[in-house]
Amino acid sequence: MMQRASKRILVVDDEPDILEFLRIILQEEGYEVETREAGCLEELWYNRSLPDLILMDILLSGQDGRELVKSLKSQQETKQIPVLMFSANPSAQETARQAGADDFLEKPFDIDVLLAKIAQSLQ
Amino acid sequence: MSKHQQRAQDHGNRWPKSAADLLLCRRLEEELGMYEAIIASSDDAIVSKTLDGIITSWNFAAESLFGYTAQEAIGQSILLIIPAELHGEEEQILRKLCQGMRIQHYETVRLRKNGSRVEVSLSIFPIKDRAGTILGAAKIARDITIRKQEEQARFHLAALVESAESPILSKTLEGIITSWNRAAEQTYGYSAQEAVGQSITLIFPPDRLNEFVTIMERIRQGERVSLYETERRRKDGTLLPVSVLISPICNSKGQIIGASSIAHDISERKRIQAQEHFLIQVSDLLASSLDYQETLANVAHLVVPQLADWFAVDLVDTSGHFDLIELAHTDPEQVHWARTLRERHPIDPDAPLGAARVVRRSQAELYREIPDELLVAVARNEEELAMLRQIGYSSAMLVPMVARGKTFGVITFVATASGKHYDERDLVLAEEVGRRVGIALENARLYREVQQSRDQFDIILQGVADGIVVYAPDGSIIYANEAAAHMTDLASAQRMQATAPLDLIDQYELIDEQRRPFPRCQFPHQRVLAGEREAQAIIGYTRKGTGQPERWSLVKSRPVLGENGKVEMVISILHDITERMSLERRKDAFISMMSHELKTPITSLKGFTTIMQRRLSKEEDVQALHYLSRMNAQLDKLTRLISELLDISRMQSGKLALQTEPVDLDGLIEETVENVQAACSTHHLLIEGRTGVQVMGDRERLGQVFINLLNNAIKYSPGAQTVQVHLWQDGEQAIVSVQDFGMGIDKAHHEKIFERFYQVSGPEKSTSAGLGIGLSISHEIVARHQGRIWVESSRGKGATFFVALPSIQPESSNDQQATGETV
Repeated sequence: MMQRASKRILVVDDEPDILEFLRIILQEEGYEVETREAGCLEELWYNRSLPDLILMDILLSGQDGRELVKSLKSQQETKQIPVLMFSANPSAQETARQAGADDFLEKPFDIDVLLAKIAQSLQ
Repeated sequence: MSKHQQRAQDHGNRWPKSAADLLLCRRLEEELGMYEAIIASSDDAIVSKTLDGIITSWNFAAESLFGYTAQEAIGQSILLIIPAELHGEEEQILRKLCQGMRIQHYETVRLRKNGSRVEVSLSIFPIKDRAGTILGAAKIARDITIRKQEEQARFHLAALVESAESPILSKTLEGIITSWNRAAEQTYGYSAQEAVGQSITLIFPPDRLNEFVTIMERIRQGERVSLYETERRRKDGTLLPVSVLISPICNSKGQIIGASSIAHDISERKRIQAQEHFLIQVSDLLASSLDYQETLANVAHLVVPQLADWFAVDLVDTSGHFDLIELAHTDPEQVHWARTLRERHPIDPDAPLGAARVVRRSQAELYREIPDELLVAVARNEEELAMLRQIGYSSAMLVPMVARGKTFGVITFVATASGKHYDERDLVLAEEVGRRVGIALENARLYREVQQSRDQFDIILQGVADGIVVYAPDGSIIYANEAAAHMTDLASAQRMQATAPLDLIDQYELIDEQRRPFPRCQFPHQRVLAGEREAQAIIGYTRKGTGQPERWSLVKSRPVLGENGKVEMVISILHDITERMSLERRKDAFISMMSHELKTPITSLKGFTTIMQRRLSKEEDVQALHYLSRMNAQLDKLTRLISELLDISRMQSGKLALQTEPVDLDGLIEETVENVQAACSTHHLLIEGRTGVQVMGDRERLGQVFINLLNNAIKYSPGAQTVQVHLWQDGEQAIVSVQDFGMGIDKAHHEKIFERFYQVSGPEKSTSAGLGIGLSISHEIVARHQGRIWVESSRGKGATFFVALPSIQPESSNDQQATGETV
């Protein structure tokens, strides 16, 4: 638990309910969680430092998550951060991976599967 | 002593011997010697004989003519040299002699010593003494065998000339006719009596008189005027085409004294030539156009007046009705009248004579003469008879027109004012004209039919909403309908046909469904020309520079094969799917959006149920946990339904993407069965057997198929406790079967259950509720894996669903494992 507590996860989704339940569950799991509904790259920084993992929906209101991932992955200081993308559209998996996402989850997802993938990515 | 001296002595012995007598005797002897010398040297045989017929003298010529020597002959009866049947002749001769008559140039036959006969001309004189008493006769015989032969030859020649079939005549250098044979009489109409003594110009047409001068000029120079074709005039004024041969005639001294002329009547040859020329003209006219009315009118102008005064062409339909399609008359005013006659008195198909019979028997008829009785016989009433009489028929021919063994018409040739009388030769010509016109009409009819059906097709094709383009094997456009022109934004179909295909293509921006440039070689008609039996493509296009929104066409091409199996043309159907494409895009966008919109709340729901589950677990509220798991299961079901809806939409637009990789089929089945079993408490899912192979496919999609089959098996066997899964390999195929022990499916539904939105209706309807798309999706997924899915079942006996998938060959599966992701 102590090990996990040090891990910081940034969750980006335009649905407040999803942000809320993910925050509850991930905090229960011992992660530090910061949520954003959208925003520019700079706003994604967690307390001015980088998160250990980013969970991001592909479709954000007024923004394409894949573009964010691309710019993250193109910058030296952020490109090593694992990005896990999710979408209600299963065929988005391909484009998510092309944009640089390390993993993909189809919505609605099984929480246990999500937790397993997060644990795997943070190893 | 010589014979002469002997003879002189004999004479002398009988003569009186007075002095005066002696003087006279001497003179006489001298005279006698002279005569004897003359007689001896004569070329004619000279024989004397007594009145009893005893030969008394026989000269050298007699020796050589008759073969007897003087010794042998003298003292013998003259009968020695007279053939037995002519002995009576000698008596007559003697009788005439006794009467003091001379016989001159009497032609008869005498016998030679060797028995052969010789023709002679006899002159017989009585020998008288001074008192005038006839003592005997002197015969002078001349051999006339050669003369006779010559005469006979001349006679033969004359007979030959006379009996020759060609006119032979002779004329002087001045052109006066000197002989005129029978053929000349017949040919020119003048008797020998009328012609001989007249100028040869008698038989020259007035416009050919100069010919005579030229001919005679050449004859005078000893030239032969060889066969040349000209014309001569008969007594009746008619002209006769002839070929003449004129040769000079020379007298015994070789002087040219006249000319012989042999003529050949070439009117028959000329007639045949004229017929051939006529037929060629007919054929040329018939071949000149496929417009039969125009051609027939032209032929009619040829036939009238050359062959007939009245020319009519009738067609006969199946009911025997005659349809007059062409009528020509030397007198144009008569045409209207003749039509009226035909309208008022149509041809009776059952008439015993004429056109009706020609059609029935398919045989030409010749009416050399048309006597009034014939008109009376064919006329059906007084009015018709009057009209027929008015025509003034002289002769007529009716010939059938035949095509494919069937008589479809009659051509009538009538001679009226010309007074012509047709004969067999004219009939042969008429039949030939009939045959050629018949073929031409039949060709024209076939062409018309083709044209009509083509026109009809064109009307139909122009009327259809789909664009139709027909390509020649070289890729050029040979037909395009207006719809095609409209769809491609061209002014007209003609414009489209007139433009070279590549230039045409260059005018457009062409894209495929993925909005990539559409390659030319992928045009369906090009693919068919390259050998494909059928090709289709969805092509989006905009005319360059117009700025118009793009249009979409579903283009399908098929070849039209010739008898040799080669592609003769390619037919492309352009179906405008612009509307459909935009609708589909909107629908795809909508379904995508909808599934996203539906799944987002489910994601939240599932998230919160998980949180609740965790809380309740701590509180150990078993019942509440149970309710939550039910909620979760229903949420999963809802998720699946939404996914299926998205899938079916993708399937429809061909966008169901597969992520293929080698899949361990046995492992996949085990995992799937385990997962389904976890959510199912009513049935035991049993696996039996192994395939032991990998298949190439989308692991998740294949899993979806088996989940669907297992869930169905559970759903449709509510009373049963097990679902049996069998795995095995059959040749190159891996087979999975899912067997339930439920209500089963009636055979009638076996195929249809794989169709989209199909639901088995029946008393158990309520239990089979659903979207009816699960099997349809499974079917699509299996088909996309080159596999097969089917069901075996009967009502009340449970159902077994089979999925057969092609297995990967061991070596290639190794390669795949080495390079690709492993399971």
